[in-house]
Amino acid sequence: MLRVQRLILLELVVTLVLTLFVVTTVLFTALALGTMGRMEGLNFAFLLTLLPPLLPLALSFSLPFAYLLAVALVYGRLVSDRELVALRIAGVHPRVAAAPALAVGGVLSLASLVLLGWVLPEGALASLVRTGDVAEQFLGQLASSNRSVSTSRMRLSFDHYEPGTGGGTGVFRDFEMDVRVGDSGRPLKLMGQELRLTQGEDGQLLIGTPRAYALSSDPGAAAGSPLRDVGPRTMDVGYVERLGAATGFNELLGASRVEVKAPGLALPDLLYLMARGDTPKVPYRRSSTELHGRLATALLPFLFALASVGIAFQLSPRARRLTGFLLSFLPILLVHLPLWVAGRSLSDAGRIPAEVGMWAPDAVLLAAGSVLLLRAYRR
Amino acid sequence: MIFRRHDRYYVRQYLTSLCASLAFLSALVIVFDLADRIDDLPRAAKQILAAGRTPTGLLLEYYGTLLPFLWMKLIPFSALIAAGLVFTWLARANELSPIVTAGVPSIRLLAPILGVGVLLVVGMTVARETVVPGLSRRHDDLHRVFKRSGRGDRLTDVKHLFDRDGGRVSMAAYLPARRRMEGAWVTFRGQPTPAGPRDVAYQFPFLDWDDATGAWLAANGGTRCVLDPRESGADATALPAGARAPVAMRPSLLELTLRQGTALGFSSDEISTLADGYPDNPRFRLLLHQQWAAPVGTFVLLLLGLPMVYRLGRANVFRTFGATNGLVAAYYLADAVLTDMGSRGALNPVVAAWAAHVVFAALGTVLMSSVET
Repeated sequence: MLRVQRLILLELVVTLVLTLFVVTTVLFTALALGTMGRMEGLNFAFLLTLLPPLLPLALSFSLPFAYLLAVALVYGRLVSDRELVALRIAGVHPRVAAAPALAVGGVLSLASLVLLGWVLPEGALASLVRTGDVAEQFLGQLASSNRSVSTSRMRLSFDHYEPGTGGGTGVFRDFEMDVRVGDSGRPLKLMGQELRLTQGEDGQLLIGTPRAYALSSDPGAAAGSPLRDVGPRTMDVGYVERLGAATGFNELLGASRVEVKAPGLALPDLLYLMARGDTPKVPYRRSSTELHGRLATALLPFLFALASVGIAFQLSPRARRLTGFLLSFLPILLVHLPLWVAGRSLSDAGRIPAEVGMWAPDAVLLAAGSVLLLRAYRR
Repeated sequence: MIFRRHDRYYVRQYLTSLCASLAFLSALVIVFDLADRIDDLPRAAKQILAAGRTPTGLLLEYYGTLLPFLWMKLIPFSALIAAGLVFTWLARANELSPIVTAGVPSIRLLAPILGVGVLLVVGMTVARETVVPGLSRRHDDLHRVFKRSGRGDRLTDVKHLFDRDGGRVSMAAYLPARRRMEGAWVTFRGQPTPAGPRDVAYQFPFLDWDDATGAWLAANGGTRCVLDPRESGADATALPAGARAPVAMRPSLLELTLRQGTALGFSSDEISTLADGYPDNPRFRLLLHQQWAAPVGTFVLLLLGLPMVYRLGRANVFRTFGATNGLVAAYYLADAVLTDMGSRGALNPVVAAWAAHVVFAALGTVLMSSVET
């Protein structure tokens, strides 16, 4: 390796570390804010446990863009300081200057493959399991000061909550609970003085009430139906002496099983899924889109470097400092991204083969970067 | 002349970097969000087309309404990143030392950047009061369309609400544009009746807000039940069409309450409405002060960051970066801790909203006086 290549490599790595830190921080913050926003009312300690699996997600996404930024800044500086001109005058071929960026891009592509193939699915699955833990979410919401909690199938309000001695036990006083019962999903309102949250022998959380009213209205008056006959509706009033002490808490709250989908599978499992073809839950086109999407995304650091170096070599030393960065970033934003969005949608819908939909944006970048580099070599 | 040629040069350099960094970070966040949202798009397509919209148009509006909010969050970071980039480049190109050697103090060179910081604070404050709240509401509706949890203008994820008059209000859905509750219930505990205190439940298929009477009216009538604790069943009374529902909460407060979890930003008037509606919740008083304090964070970050990134010669990039990040992290940590204390009512909301900014602005001023010159 030439000394000049070592210097470029060092500058690239330093800039990459700094940009990766900034970009990952911004994305991680956006993800964390989004997650916290979706789970309003949960206690802070529970929310914190949701955050670590988000880091690989932010990192896998920020890596190619941080590298694009690093290459654009480093090569933009080499151009504006006329260091590339000096190298050419000294008889050094441009590929010598381009090699460090492409080599690091290749290494980062491999790292991306590991991230997208193994680390990210594990993180996605951990996150799914954690957010699917409805009982824990529910207990977390008790920390909320508005005395009103809700999950996908239930809404509960209470005057106050008296925590018990064991974890996950306590009593809601003056409670009111809306649940959906039966296959019809007819809403039922329960009102009572006491709703007990207890823990069964197997550690499962159970709820029960010694006495409560069960109220329901005429389903014909359900939301959205037209005002066809003006007049009072009927209200069914029942009396609940005991509410499902044997009812699993998660079941009542509508917690669904965590089902691993294609994005939550490691690369070997995804390949196995593809080999099985269409399955009742996951069609072949979806697993194929996921696999090719991951492989194509993993190649991005290398392709971004190729395009960015190619563009930098075309720049005049008199160009403004940020020109290289803007010229590198805009094609990604205006060409690669729309192609990627369209390719993913069409592949997912089965209108085009996944190989075409997911690799076409990369092919465009590869072609453009190669042409620009060859043009620079010939000059 | 106050605004000299070198000021114009530095401001131009700074603004270019600021715009580039803001554009890059915004694009990154949007692309990231899009990668997540793209799976929802085919599933929501039918609903979107039924509403007379195209998925592309909806996506554009979705991100168009997100951008101002995104900028409110990203501008402080971008302002600092831009300052770091500009002064690193200027120092590397030896564009700072000649001017300082010519007798212009360093603090004078930094002044225009701080001036831009002040303008950013003013701009952000105005935007938070004017543009952001309306766009936030629209964005919330569009988000609902994507997630198929409603028609966009129909809020279905409604928790039970505690009304000022003692009732507990629940509903199947709320339509903000029509100011209508669907499938509404209002319950009261221990209401005085001839037979003694009883729980009372009202059920209304629909409740519409009437401006003339300033009340919720049951266009379709309703039912009133006195619940008897001794027997099964209850005395149900039919309520006539146009009956007045026992709900004191006004539509403005109701909508703000329902949207507060997903809102990207409220105006101070809206936060005041929430604070008045829920006087026991200290979070809203804190939010009211943060409405004015949060934009100041951009200026505080510049005060902290500029002395770190400004060097006449070449500096150790890692050391500068580490020190700046450490200081910024300490600032955000202090702000987060104080905010948490304020939202729990453990600290006066004025102190909770402003203390971190004041303390770190003071530290930044001290650091600013020690810049190399």
